[in-house]
Amino acid sequence: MSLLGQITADLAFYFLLVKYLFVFTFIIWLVLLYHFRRPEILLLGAVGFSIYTYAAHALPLNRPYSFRPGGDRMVNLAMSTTAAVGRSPFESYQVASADHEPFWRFLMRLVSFGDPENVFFIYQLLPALTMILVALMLVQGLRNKGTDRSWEVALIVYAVLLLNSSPQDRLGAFQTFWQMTFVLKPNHALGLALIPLWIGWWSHRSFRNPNLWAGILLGLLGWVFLMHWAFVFLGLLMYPLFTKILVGQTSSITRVLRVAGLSLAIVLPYITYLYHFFWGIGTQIEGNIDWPMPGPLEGFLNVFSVGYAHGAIFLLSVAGIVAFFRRRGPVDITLLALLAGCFAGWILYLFAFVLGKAIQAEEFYYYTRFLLSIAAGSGAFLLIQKTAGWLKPHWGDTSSFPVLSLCAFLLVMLPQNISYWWYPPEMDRYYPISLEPVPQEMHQLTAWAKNFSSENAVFVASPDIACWISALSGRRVLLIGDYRPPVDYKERRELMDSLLNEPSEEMFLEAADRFQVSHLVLEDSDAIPEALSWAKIVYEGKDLRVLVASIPADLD
Amino acid sequence: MHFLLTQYTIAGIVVVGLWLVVRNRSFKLGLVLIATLGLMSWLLTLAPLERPYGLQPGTAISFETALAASGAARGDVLESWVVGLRNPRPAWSLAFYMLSFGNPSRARMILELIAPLTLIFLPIAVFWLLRGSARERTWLALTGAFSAVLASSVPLDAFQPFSMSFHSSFFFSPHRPLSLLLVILSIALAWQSGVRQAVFSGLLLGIVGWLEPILFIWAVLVLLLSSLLLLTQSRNHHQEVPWLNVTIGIVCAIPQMRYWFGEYLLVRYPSSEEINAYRILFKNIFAVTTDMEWIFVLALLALPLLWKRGGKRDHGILTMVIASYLVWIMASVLFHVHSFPEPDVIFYLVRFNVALAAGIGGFELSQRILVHLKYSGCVESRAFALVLFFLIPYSGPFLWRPLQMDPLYYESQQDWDTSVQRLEHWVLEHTAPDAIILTGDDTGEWIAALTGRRVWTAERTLSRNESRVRRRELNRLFTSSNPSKMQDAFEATGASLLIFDRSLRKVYWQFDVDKLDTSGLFQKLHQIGDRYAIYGLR
Repeated sequence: MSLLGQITADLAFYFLLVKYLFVFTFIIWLVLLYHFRRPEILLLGAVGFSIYTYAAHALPLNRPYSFRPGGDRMVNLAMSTTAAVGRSPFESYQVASADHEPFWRFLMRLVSFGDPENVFFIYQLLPALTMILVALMLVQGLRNKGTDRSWEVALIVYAVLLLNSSPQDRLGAFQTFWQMTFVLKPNHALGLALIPLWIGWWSHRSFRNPNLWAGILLGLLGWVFLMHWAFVFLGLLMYPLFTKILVGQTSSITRVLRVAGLSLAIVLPYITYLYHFFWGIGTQIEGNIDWPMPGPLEGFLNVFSVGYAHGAIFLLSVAGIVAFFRRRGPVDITLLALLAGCFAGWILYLFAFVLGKAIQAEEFYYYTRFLLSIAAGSGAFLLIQKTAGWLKPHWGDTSSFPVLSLCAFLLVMLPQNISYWWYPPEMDRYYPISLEPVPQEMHQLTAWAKNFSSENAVFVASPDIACWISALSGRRVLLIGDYRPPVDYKERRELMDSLLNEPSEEMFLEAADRFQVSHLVLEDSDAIPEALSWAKIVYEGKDLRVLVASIPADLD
Repeated sequence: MHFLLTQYTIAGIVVVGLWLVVRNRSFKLGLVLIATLGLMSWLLTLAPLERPYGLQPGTAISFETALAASGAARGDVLESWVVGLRNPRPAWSLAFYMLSFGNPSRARMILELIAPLTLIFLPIAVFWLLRGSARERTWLALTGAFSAVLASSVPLDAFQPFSMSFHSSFFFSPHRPLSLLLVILSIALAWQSGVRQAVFSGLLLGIVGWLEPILFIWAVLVLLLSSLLLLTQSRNHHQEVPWLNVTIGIVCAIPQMRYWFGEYLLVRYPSSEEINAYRILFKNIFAVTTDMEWIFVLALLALPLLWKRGGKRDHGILTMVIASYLVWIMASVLFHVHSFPEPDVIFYLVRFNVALAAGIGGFELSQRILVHLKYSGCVESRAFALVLFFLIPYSGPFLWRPLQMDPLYYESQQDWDTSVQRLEHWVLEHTAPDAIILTGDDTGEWIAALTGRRVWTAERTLSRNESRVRRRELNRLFTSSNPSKMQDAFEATGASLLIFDRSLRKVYWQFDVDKLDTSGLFQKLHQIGDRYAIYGLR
């Protein structure tokens, strides 16, 4: 075993080493920051440490992160690999069914150049890329026209990337924002990246027709991640209230209606599409969705979980909100409106819980934490400026921005950085499974499927195997269980159960006719009865057999 | 939802309590608030449990309960509940012997009351230690008491090799806060002048030596170092050096120290799991520094202030922190050179002292902020309120999620195994308090904790060598085909009863238990389900 392999095998030691290295680099970074006094160094450090933490997190893994049957990541990869081989963005990895996220499929198809292998490579890079993108968008969107806010924006980036969570998340109703957004769901992080850009476009009116571009961008956000659009939309509706209170303007109502209307017009086809294909299908599935313990209702009723429990970071957010109120700039008012939208959303979610309609509550929590992190960055800026007077007489810090106070603040906040306290073996529930290599049997089966079956092939397999086939080979399947059920879920489930338990020629041909099913994957070779003389075995693994009907030879 | 209710209750008490404290400017209300917060945590988590928290074989609380119960059942407090093993805490067993009037069941009840009692009296003791007779230090002392007792836990504690400081100290190892209470009283007395105080201080120190030797070492270091520091800084050679109390303490504790350093510390090895956890911990300097987050930051702020002020108590607090790190270094060296069985005691000790300093640092900072904001009124009470508000999210009562953090808590919610209860009743009814019972490890611990009877086992707290010798004797008993050899082997243990349980059956699976009956040596006295078969010599 190589030295690196030996180090990463002992996780406790490895992460201790990672922590030592971080602290050492952090101190060097502070020295550089103090010496050069440039916000770019603060910015680079924030992005660099976040990427460093991700790299340290990913290095010991033996399979793509959280890559497990039924898991969010596997379904996401199945979605992307099937798109990569050339399927329509609207068609799911489950044959003849619609996909929830056509934009993401389209994007993956574009960047993978038609090869599912590339998808895996891109997914490894995505967390780091979205971190950079979020940082760039924050810089682009939150800088003020006319005044130099570069230090404040750099602090905001620092807060959003490194101070967004606390170890308490592990014990709360929702998992850590940084891990769940950047590492597990970079597609959602992409949505978050667009929000500050939208704030900038909406607030600064940089374009000739600002309302048009703000509306288009908000509409695009809806296609990227609909829930983020809904949350921002809610905040946008709050905007006139704040302009009236803070700057005494009433004219913003028309503007809000125009932008909201335009974005709604862009998103409406997508909403209609989702309504048409997915509304009410949840009721077909038996059992409950596996919510993270101790349950989102507790998470929502527990106001501490999003605020007070995060201690100092929350207090910084409160300071930031106070700063927004006092400054009353266009960006500040927009941020206040979005935060008020969060509050309104919070109440709506509570009602939705009563009605049993609250979906993906954790996404709302992460959105709230994102906005509160932005506020925390501004709060930190305010705090540093206020405390500069204390240090100046002693240290003679005469620069335009009190870098010494900044360094003191960063040093004090060292233990709050996610790079400092993140210990995935115990804080990340997906980590242990990600340390195990992909089962050999699945490797062989999917390699065979990729090389020896047509891109149009459709597999029927038990849910645990279907996931692997779709994600690793980019082939479509009949059904992958109840994670994202198609409209005809019950029918497919019955057909799949029959084909797997009592396969018959008639049934297979019916499946081939209705769903273009071409391959049947049976798990226990001993159980293949003689009645399957109509089929021929095309792949034979240790515990798996893949069969195709011998008659329709043109299928493969 | 239970945890949520706890958090809301704590937050509600904090809001109402702080309002009352600030409005009335009453430090007594502040003390009541601190005690109430601790007690509420106990009331909402441990009090509703159907059975004593964590009482099951292999846990620290079970070990302490067994020591207490065996102390209550017999007068000989020098021997542990395992025959042949010396009692590591004779003072603990003696206290239970005196308080329970020889009834082991009463000992269990008293043990459960230690947590709430220490939650009330420890903050008062710390307050007294920090304030002394100086009224101007009242609010500072109050903040220090809150911080040391309730805020020594941080979120990252959930991921350390040891459990969260607050619950582990007060609920899981109640002898520790009790020892801490005594040692704080001893130091507080030592910081007052007068021979009587010095004698009392020395005696308390001596008792601590018989209860928790690490705290004794720490306290001696604190007393000597703080005097030394005063001498060095003030160059006033008339400063009192607490020779009298230190000498009394050392003289009283010498026999136990000799045992502790001679046999217990250097012979008893931690388990391999413990070793792995400790190995990482002793290399991980963050565990006793920056992992404490704000507690550490605020403590760092306090230390130069304490040094600069230079009062007797200021230097005392400074040396309390320094001495705890010195003990940590000593333990690390011992661990790497040979062995150190209980590093968690030092881990909690460092937490306690750093949190105490953090309270003082936080108080000074809050005062400066209020002065900076040109606040008029009672700045001190407001500063206390500010620190409390800031540190509550990092405090034990607010943080501790027993169901998620502690598997023992979940198990403590379940009903007791009826066969264990039946065994307890049978042993209490049919055996004398000084009876010795030969049985497996787990059953032995149950019996000792529930009935106070001594047991002969190859128990896990024995040294490796002793354990090996006992296994050999067990082998002689259960693998011998000759009845007289079996009898010799059994009599050598001094036991009057043999309880054949699952753990013995697992090891000696080839042994036909009916052979005990048919050999003519033993007679079966009782059978409890398929778990316990009780035999006595014919």
